[in-house]
Order: sequence, then C-alpha cells, then structure tokens
Amino acid sequence: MRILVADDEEDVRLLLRLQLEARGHTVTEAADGNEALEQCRADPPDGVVLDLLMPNRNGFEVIPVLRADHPEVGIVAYTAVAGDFVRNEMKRMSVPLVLKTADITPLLAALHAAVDRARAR
Amino acid sequence: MGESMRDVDLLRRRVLNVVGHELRTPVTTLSGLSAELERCTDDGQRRQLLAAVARNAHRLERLLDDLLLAAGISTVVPVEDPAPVDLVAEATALWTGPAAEISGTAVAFARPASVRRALEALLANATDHGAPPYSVTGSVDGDRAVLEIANGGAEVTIADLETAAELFFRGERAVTTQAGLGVGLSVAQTLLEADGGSLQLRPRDGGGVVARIDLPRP
Repeated sequence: MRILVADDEEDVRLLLRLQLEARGHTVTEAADGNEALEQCRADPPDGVVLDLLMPNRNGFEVIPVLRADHPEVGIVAYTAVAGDFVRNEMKRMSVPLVLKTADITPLLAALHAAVDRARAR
Repeated sequence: MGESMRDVDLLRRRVLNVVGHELRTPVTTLSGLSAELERCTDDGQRRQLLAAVARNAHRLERLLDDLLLAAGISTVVPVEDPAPVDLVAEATALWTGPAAEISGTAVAFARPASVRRALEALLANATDHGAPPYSVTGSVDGDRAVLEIANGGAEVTIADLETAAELFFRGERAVTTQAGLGVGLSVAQTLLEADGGSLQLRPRDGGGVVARIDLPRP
C-alpha cells in the first residue's frame, strides 16, 4: 500500500515509516493537516494514517475535505487517547479509530480494511 | 455530589486525560523505537532511532519536572546559584515565534536555568494561544527587573485569564490542534516565585494578553 502518515510528532512519523516500510509499504509523511491535504491532492495515497490533534487543520477538519475530494483514499484516525467526543465523532464520520501503541498490528488491520472499503465505493 | 466534589472530580478527570495523552505518546513511541532498534541492522538508521529514543526520554523527563513544578513542588528547581540574568537577551534567544518587537532592558538576579525555563513556558504560551503583534519589553521598577511578554488575539477578560492559569487548562485552540500539558503558566510561576519573583497576567488593550514577570535586580 502507499500510505501517508500525517502526524505532527516527528518521532511518531519516523516509527510508523520504519514499521510500515519493513512490511513492504511505501510511506510519505505530512506534519500537519494542510500538508496532508496538499499531498493527497498532488498524489493520492491508498490510505492515510491521520493524527487528530495537529496544527494547521486538525484531523477532524481534514476528514470531511479528504472524503469529499478523494473518496477512494482509506482513512484511519490514529490518536494517543480517545475520550467519548473523539469516539463519537469518528463513529459519526465512519472513520476507524486506532489508539497509538508500539504494536503496528491493529493499525495495519484497520488500514487494510479502510483501504478496501474506500476502493469499493 | 456537591459542587466542590464535582469540581474535584472534573479536575481529576482533566489531569488524568491530559497526563494520559502526554505520557502515552512518548511511552508508546519509545516502546516501538526500541523494538525497531532490536530489528535494525543499518548503522545510519540505528543512529536515527537512538536519537529519537533520546528525544522521547528527554520529553518524559521534562514532563515529570513540569508536573512537579506545576504542583508547586520545587524539588526539581535547578540547583544553581543566582547570577545576573539579562531577561530581554534571554527572551530574545528563546523566541521562536513570528516577528516580535523587542525593546528595553531588564537585568535580574536569579537562577539562570530557572529563568530560562520560565521564559520558555511564557513565550510558548504567547505563541500557542495568541496571535501577532508580539512584543517583549524590559524595564526597571525600583529594585525589580520587569519583563512583559505581550501577544495579540481575541479580547480576554480577567476571568478568562484566571481560568487560563488553572492547572491543566488548555486553550480552546490547543485542545484540538496540539498536545501539551496546560501547565506552562503554573511552571513559570513556581520557578519565578522560587527566585523571589512573580507572574501576573492582564488583558492587552486591543485584544490578547500581557504576561508580566518581575524579579529582584542584582
């Protein structure tokens, strides 16, 4: 898969890039919401790992734009903690939510499912 | 539940939520980085991973210090002797925001590392929660060295500022756009008070906030 990792934490991006590349995926990075949207416009990936708390357009603001412009791109919300507000918003927007952990397995499973669903649209 | 109990419960939840968020990212990142280090055979990549491990360990150390300082526990105030500190020069060196008007002179007699940490917190607060125009102004008031850090932005009231100074409070914009403990003002206050100084916030004419610190002069 071609995956865009959008997270303002440089080390989170580094870790995800290494983890995903080690599993054969191609990774690009964005440090904020605007950068993520620009990259999707220029070269839409298969899937986006989207941090929710980011400067210059947070994840909540990126999702509707990305969905409208690129419905074929799968999105997974990736966050350190998720209270009721976050869980409800992601449910409302039908975006799978994965909590940040050292284990990449849940994120990869969610990404595969999100990409498959987006392609089927 | 009585009102005070509800307040305590609200604060408890706010603390755990904010600390949980701020701890979880470096902890999970460290855990993932160490697993990658074990797997990695490329020297260049190992150096990159080790640098990331060091950054995240430092972040946890800073987080712990900030939590203690914010709670008014001065056991982690840097151990050093007071010395003359040029507040304007220090603020200028630490400023990472957009263009700011910097003027005046203010030399304090305080622990340099403590003052730098307090200034760092106040400058970050101005750029994270404020907007241009930014200014840093040094002055002298009797035996006190005074530094005012001002930022533009929305009109605020005294009540808004009291809320902003609450522990673990994070401004509306910060809640959805960036991480952070929301303890910067408390950290700055503890550090300044440990050196005989003080911190006051007031609304800026035309919108925004002025953070005024004063410390003893040499």
